[in-house]
Amino acid sequence: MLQFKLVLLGDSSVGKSSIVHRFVKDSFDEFRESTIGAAFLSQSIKLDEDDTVIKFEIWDTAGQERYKSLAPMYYRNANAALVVYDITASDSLSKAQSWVEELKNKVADDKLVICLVGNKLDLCQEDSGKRSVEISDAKQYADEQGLLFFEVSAKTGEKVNDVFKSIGESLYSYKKEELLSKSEQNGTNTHGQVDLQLQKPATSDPTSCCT
Amino acid sequence: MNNNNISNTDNINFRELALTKYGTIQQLIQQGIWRGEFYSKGQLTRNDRGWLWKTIVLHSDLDCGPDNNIKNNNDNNDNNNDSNLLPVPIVTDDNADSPLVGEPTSKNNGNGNNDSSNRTHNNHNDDNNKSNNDKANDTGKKLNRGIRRLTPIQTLSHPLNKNSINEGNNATKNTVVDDESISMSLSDTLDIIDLDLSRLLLDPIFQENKVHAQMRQILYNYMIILQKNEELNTTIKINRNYQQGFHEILGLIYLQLYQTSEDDDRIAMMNILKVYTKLMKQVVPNFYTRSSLISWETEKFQPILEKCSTLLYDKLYIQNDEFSNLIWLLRWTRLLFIRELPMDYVVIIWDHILTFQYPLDIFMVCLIITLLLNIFEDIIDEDEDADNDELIEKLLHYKKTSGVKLIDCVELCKIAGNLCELWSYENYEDMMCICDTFVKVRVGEEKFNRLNEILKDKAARKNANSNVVDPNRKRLEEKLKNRVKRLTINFKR
Repeated sequence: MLQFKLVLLGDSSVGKSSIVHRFVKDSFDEFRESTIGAAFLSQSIKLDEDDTVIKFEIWDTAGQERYKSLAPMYYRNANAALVVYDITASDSLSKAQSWVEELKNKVADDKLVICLVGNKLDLCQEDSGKRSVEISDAKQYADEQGLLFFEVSAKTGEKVNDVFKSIGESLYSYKKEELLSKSEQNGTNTHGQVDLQLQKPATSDPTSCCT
Repeated sequence: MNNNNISNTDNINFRELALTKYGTIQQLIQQGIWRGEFYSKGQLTRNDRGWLWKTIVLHSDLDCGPDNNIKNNNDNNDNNNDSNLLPVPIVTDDNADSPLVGEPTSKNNGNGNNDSSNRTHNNHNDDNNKSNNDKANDTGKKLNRGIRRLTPIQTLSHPLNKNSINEGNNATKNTVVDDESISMSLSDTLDIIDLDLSRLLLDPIFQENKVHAQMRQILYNYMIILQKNEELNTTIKINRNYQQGFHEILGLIYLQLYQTSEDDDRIAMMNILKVYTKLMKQVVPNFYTRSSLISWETEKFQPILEKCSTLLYDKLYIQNDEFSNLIWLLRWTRLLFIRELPMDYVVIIWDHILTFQYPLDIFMVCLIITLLLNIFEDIIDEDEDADNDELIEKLLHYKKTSGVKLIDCVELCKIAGNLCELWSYENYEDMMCICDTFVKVRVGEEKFNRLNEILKDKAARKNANSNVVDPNRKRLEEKLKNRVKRLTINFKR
């Protein structure tokens, strides 16, 4: 099993905690109390590729945590970041963009997987007039920045699992590359293959590999 | 309304009992609360507690000295509320961006509009205030333009506007400023207050329009007090913006006080604001300002913890990543345990906090330490592979971690109070003695000693690991390496 740290960032009430709860507990509450500081949950998924099991340690942060704030405490050592905005509130996207900037400036790890997620898709399906961020525009921004991108609904669950699966796949492919290049350096690689199960993943914490 | 009126006669009994038994507020505080006499006959109702908080917080302010008589004060209870709460101004184009206090806001501000409506909240149409409400909604529509601003980063155009993307990088860099030093505007403040109140789940009553409007008005009034109050601005700069968590602390006070029987709404709201302001006077500067929260941790929490329990200190600050404790401490302190402990437990801790017998910053440290002692064996995990995040996870889910083994709340507060006193007398020996004894009683002496040994072993091994390369050996290694290098160079030649 590979273990990764994932952090959620984004403006207040865009639905960060709701996305986590949909993913971890497959449940949704119309009202959810404001997150104070951070919350912690974990969940594992199985990738199609090699039947790899990936465990996400999820740090869900408060929307009001912002610049020069305590936020670095949460995204430090993260392997992946979910930057969430609300597709019915365009200003929440500019907050998301600021988070992307901050992550790119402050996180040294160029293997950090960032996924831009527009939430509350269900509201726009009910009433298309509610949409205030066009999917094509957000997609274009994500492409320019090299981010994964999804529009989801924590309420209906639509695409929520896809987000985590896609992040998991990216992390897994980085991990394979890393191990491959390591074993090439060590000269132990004879057939261009790596036995992942025998290697400790270089996640945030060397002890976090659960075997 | 539900369960509060059920035992109306009991309420009176409680109060009469309190009044006849204790002559002074000090006696009531010392015997009723600190000796736990109030809790011996089961739980206090909300009304009882509302009366208790009003009595100990508001009347100890009348500074009649230690022997002030409760009865006299109690008769006066609500007569000294001559002032009224300010109405919440209706947000208009003119005042939306202005700060809460200072610059003139608008003609609408303070003109007697008792605005109990909500600008953007569709759920809260106040029928009594129909005309105001319509006006507010119209303004809301005009203002919003689909751009919601909850954080002080100005967005003048749509974020995906071509130009703004191109300028995006520069623009964001320029606006990365300390959000604590910016004054949040009136409309931003009211927006986030509305948002937080709509998500306040302490009790279903907070979804009622009237309660929402009252909470909103009290918070608005508190924000004015906070921003105007210069006396707080002594040595440290404090964050005077509304912050998430303010609403929840107010919520718990509101629940005890909103319906204390003889009060009308206006007086009840005034009392709630007063109790809240008194409590927040210590909470905001210590815990809601980032720099002071960090110095509270390094200058108070860490040293006191080290004196109390070297084992816990070692686990949290030597073996653990030093920085990560702030993650759980932040919520524990900012919400004064609301999310960490069962509600009937939290309110008893608050009874003790509201007696203000000890400075809140130190009392919180000692309460937290006592709570940690209570889950000592979960923290000092014998599982070698447990990592930092697992420890933080346990502390972020204290209710689950502690389960049914929580000690009696009055005991908890007494121990914490003792520790506060000993700390102020610099009697570190007794602090450690209290904590070690507590743990021994909880987990048994044998286990305590074993845990002690394990931890010492761990520390020793850690030292051994870091000292593996002693200087002599390192020198020898270097020599060997150099020799090998030279040899290989020679060989290549």
